[in-house]
Amino acid sequence: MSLYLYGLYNGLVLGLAIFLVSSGLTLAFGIMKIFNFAHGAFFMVGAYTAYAITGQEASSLFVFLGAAFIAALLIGSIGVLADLAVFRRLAGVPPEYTLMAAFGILLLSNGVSKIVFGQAVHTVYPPAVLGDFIDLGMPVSVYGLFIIAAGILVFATLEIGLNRLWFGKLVLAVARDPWMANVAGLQVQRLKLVSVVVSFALAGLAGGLLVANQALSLDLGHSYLLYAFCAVIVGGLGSVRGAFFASILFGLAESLNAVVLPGLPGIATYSLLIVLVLVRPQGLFPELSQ
Amino acid sequence: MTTSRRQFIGGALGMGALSAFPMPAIAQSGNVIKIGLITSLQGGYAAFGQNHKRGAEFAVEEINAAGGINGKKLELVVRDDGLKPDVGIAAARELAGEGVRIFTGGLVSGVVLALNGIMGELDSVFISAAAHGNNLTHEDFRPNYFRVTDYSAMRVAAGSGLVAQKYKTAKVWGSIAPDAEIGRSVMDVVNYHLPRVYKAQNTIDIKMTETLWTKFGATDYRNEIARLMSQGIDGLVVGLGGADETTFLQQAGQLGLTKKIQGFFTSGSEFLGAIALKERTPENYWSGFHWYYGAYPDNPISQKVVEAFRAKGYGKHPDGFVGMTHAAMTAIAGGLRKGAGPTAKEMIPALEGLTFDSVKGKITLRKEDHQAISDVNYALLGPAKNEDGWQVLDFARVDGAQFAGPPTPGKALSFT
Repeated sequence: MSLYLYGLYNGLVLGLAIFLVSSGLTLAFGIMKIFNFAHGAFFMVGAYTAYAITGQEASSLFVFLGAAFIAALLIGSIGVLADLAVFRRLAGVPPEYTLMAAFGILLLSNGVSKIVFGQAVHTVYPPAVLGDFIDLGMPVSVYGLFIIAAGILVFATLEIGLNRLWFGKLVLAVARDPWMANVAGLQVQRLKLVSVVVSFALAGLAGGLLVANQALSLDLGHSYLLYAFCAVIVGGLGSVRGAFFASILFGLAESLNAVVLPGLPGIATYSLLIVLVLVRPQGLFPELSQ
Repeated sequence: MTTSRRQFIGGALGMGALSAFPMPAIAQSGNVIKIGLITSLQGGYAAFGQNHKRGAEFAVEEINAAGGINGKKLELVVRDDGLKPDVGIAAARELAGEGVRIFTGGLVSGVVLALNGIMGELDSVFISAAAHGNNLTHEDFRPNYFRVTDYSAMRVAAGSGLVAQKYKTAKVWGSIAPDAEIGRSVMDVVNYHLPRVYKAQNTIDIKMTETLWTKFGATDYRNEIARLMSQGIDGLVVGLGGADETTFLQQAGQLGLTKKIQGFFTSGSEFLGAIALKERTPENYWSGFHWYYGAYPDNPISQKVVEAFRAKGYGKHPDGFVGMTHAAMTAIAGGLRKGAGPTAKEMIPALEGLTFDSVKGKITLRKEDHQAISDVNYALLGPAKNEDGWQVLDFARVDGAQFAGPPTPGKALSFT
């Protein structure tokens, strides 16, 4: 396998990892119309939660997945609190206020995480079944394949859930026109709450699934959040499908950058962002509600 | 607008309640000399910053317990720079506004470079206790800046000699470093020294492959690892630090790189990688240290700091960041004991050429460029079946004077 092919494979792994983080972010934007700055912090808390359950290495795939789901449940529960205590109360004010509130939640989450988890750096390894690599001339990690599969599964679930199931259609109706949805008799607040919970839970799930991908530290959220924001903007604000394809684009750009231009790390990602925003400012898949 | 009686009483009660809380008194008083510690207390380098704080606190406790300096007590005021130059500058200005004139800490070269730029304006001195960049005591030298630890030129040159001695047959060397000043500093030195030292010590010509540059905070080094594996390297220089270094080592171990090479050395994450990797710590991993306490079993200052660290329940293994702020405070105390006041005008001549006892033996702050001439420490870390999951297998304590190079303040180090 050549370095270029390997770069493509790694680009897919990184792209789907970015999507796992950006899926919740774009969903939150679709409903609340704000960039949830706290998303990266909750992703990080999800990773720490999974680590607290599995330790340095999960004993089995079941335990690894179970820890990720518990992380999703915990962060989803925090989403309920965040919605009831903050976001719902700020529903009628200009979005800048909600943005600042999200920033406040980010600072609070970081501070609490520092107290609860400490400042040490940890490493977490996937369970033995995912821990190996396939030697195709280059070491193709099984865990990387797992991340690709997990990303596609989350995308398919959200796509089907939002576009094919009745409940998803109700959520989209609220996102696109909450006033009309209210007039039509939908329980707007409840549907918004569910969407916020799903968005937060996705952050927790991403943390649990990606915890073994890199070192675990209080910086973890920042590492992915910038990519995730890029993917949400380029994909089309609030569009899950857009975030999916944009995440893959950024993953490939970042990975192939390392192969083609190893002396200029990161330049491809930012160039791609500039070009795509200029060429298609409405996003790859503009969401109807925007 | 009139004030009602109710508003007045409410306001008075509020003021009374507020005055009952002790407010932090920062301003210099006659019997206290405030030292500002500016370091990074959050993010991937927070563990180092925390130890910076601890080391300085130990020194202040010791100095004050011994009666202070010329009848005055030292007091430490800590601020977080968030790894950002602008935040560090804001912290320094704030403390200077409160009368602080002596600063220490400084984890990363970028922040220290920015802080150095305002020290003259603030009539202050900065004694850095970690930042490694070659530029700080060379092309970007400022007279108000001192460094109590070794720097890239010394550390990496000593590391090159060490690996040439340990891995005599390693003919192809790869390297990976962050695309930042510290990464460039490390690689300048490696590319200059490693081939020469192999030629001199082992009479072989080694090949240095092209350095792989990475971003700070990267989450994926697999492409770089694959490239290194395809280059058929025997040894590797890792210029990454903090959580980045740990991520790299984690992924390199998973993909089999660390087992394929004879050995590798990193410039300075001390115990951090081993603490995170535990039993997955590679066996051929030389980590650079500002101070490795195990190399100084007969040094009473070193032993005292180790005991204090353990007595406070901070863990078993104090790292070099603890040792270096302790050394910085010792240097500051040395300057003050010479009769200097806390202003730059008095402190600079007092610190220039100062030789003092520290956790790593005698350190001299070279007069010309304010660079510490001290030992350089490395430790070979490896996995273990013990409580930590890792252990120190070997260590090196190298006289850094031979690698310090000539002082060239205002002029870049030459590697030709």
